Amino acid sequence: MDENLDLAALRRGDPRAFEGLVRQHQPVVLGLCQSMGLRGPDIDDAAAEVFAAVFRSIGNFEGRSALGTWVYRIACRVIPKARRKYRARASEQPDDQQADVDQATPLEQSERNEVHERVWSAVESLEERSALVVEMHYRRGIGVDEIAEVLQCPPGTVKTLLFRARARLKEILGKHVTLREPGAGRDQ
Amino acid sequence: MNDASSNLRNDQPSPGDPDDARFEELLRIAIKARPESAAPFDLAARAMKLARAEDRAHAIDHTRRLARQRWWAQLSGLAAAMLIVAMIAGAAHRMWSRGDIAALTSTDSADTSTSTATDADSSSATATSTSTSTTTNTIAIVFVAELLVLAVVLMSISRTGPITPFGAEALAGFW
Repeated sequence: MDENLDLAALRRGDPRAFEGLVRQHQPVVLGLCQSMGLRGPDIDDAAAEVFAAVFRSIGNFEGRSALGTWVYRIACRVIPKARRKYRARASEQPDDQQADVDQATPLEQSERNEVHERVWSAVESLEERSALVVEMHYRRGIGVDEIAEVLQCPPGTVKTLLFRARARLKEILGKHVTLREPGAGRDQ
Repeated sequence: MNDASSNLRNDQPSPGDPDDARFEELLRIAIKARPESAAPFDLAARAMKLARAEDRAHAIDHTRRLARQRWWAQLSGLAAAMLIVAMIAGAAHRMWSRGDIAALTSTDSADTSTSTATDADSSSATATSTSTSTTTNTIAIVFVAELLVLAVVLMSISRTGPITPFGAEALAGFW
């Protein structure tokens, strides 16, 4: 989480500094949106809502935690709300999962397989906090302590959330996924 | 983020369970293999625009709420003042119709007549004129009191601004 951002400029509402912040943290925020089951324009809208909240409250950032942690904390608060808001809209639209496939390069497409897509879909079906924890932990490699800081809960709670998420994913995927040696799914 | 590997040890399944370990690995590979969502090129601009729109909506909402509160405060102030005036007027009217003021006047006139009237022939005429002037004074005092109350209310209202239904002018000023 390399942060070479000018905090003073950010607090002044400098657009360039803010663009830098968005560029730096948008992959994680967009990933969190994805893991919450948002699709296409909903991801963009939710990410815009997250960064709008960041822009509005950047003046209150006291620097007690890393800027990234603070941004993800806002994201973890805003995205579930956005998800609930867009749920009705999302249910009316056809599943855009294919849109991701279309944007991917041929190499990425070859790497993807049915098992992976089932895992992604299973993660999206998890309870909100579990989905966020799984995304941050497994995809972004964020440590338990930092996730605890983001979610403002003890590290033990994060570990419990991860444990429960794993158990739930195993339950969901157990019917469809045959456990193979790691990496076997890629060869399909 | 750098201590991820050390933290992973705490929440990983027991090494003795190969199925769990394989599942963990499958999860990690599958989740990492997910393609990144394409970021909109104008995300920062959109976020700033949204934040400003939210701020503006907030400000409008705040102004509207303040204007409404002020309107109700002024209305209740005016109603309270009118109630006080009505009560004073009602009390004065009751006193007048029961003859309390007349009795007060006659007592006053009697006092006046004993202290001032030395001439027995002119005492009746003097008492009548004093009685009339005392009644007029009492009514005048009641009206002055009412006017004072009204003046205080009007002054307090003029200090907070004119009464406007739901702060229409406040909103117009904001825009």
